[in-house]
Amino acid sequence: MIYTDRARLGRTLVRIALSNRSKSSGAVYHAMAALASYHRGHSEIEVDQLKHAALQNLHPGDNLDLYDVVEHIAANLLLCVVEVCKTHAENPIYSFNTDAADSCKELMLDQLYLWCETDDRDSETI
Amino acid sequence: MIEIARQYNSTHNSDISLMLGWVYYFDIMARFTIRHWRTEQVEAAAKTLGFNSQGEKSCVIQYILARDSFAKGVPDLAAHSNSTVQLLAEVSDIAIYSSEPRYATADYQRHLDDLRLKLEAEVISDSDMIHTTKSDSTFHDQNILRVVCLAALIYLERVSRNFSGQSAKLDLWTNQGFSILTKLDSCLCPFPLFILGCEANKDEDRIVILNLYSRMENQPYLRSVMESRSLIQTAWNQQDLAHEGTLEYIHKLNLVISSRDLLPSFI
Repeated sequence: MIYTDRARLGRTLVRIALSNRSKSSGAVYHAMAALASYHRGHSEIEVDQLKHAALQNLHPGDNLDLYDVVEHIAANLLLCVVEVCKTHAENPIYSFNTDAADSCKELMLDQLYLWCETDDRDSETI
Repeated sequence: MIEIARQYNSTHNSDISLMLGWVYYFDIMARFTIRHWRTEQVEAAAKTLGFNSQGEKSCVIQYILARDSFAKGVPDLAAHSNSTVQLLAEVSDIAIYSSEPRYATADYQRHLDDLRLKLEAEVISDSDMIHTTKSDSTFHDQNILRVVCLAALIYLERVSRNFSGQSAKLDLWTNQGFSILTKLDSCLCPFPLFILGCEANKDEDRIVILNLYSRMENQPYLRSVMESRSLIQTAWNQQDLAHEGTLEYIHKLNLVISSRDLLPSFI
């Protein structure tokens, strides 16, 4: 995200995840936990279990209200981020016409911390 | 789900608007990387060198799905984003190759000129805000928006004109960009880092980029952009190994973005 929306997004995700409002808010909670678990360096099995827990809570019914829709989109995007992080960590760098340095895979992102960060510069609370 | 979301009359600051803005940003950044991913020219080079130019099976499937999805576009989400992201979306949609039918039309050239003017205006207006604000967080945010606009201008100038050399304009935007980066403790938006990184041909400019990444590494939660550093280093390798003036800008971006087995992510 372009920076100005990031802090607000983080606070909103945490609020939704902790609301315990519905199954889909539980999906947001588990998707965030999967991302955090990944960045904490927990085992792949643990990350996958949390991912599956999120997915199990994502069964859209016929009568979705606005909150359900927000929660579904949030959970799906978080799961996208988890997948992006995981797949890029596991896949190699090609060198087409140079001996590009085989840079070791970088330390992975901890976006959950970023999003959940209590920004000292910003007095707005979750 | 997005279709359902759009049926609600959401206000700009609502949760649903925030989520749709997030979707929009994902979409733009994916469009940006996919347009430089494994072009025919790169695929041919990869095959010659014995690489599997298609990447992983899962990647091929994702690529097909993404192509299909992007062909349809995601209309009406721009309103959920700020003006800088909207301009970035337009820049990510400019024609890359002269073979595209719109490339030489007068309307399209006018559109490019308008886009350039809007981006320049955005850089100036952000600059004004920087001088008038006293808040650290606003100062930081405005610097980020400004550096995004400068990177978009550089990309626009180079790609729309298929220009790989140096010019006074490009030097100005690049220097302004590096000047901002020296002031930042972090820049969590990989796009401007990548574009400015690709302009860093001198050691002192590369040090600016590397120092910023070092500052980010010192912060425990800021490790998301390290993939972009790796991409920038690949670009530098390409640049250093090319004979002077022989590496075209678009081809360089194509090579660098295609150098990963999966589409790089700028989210």
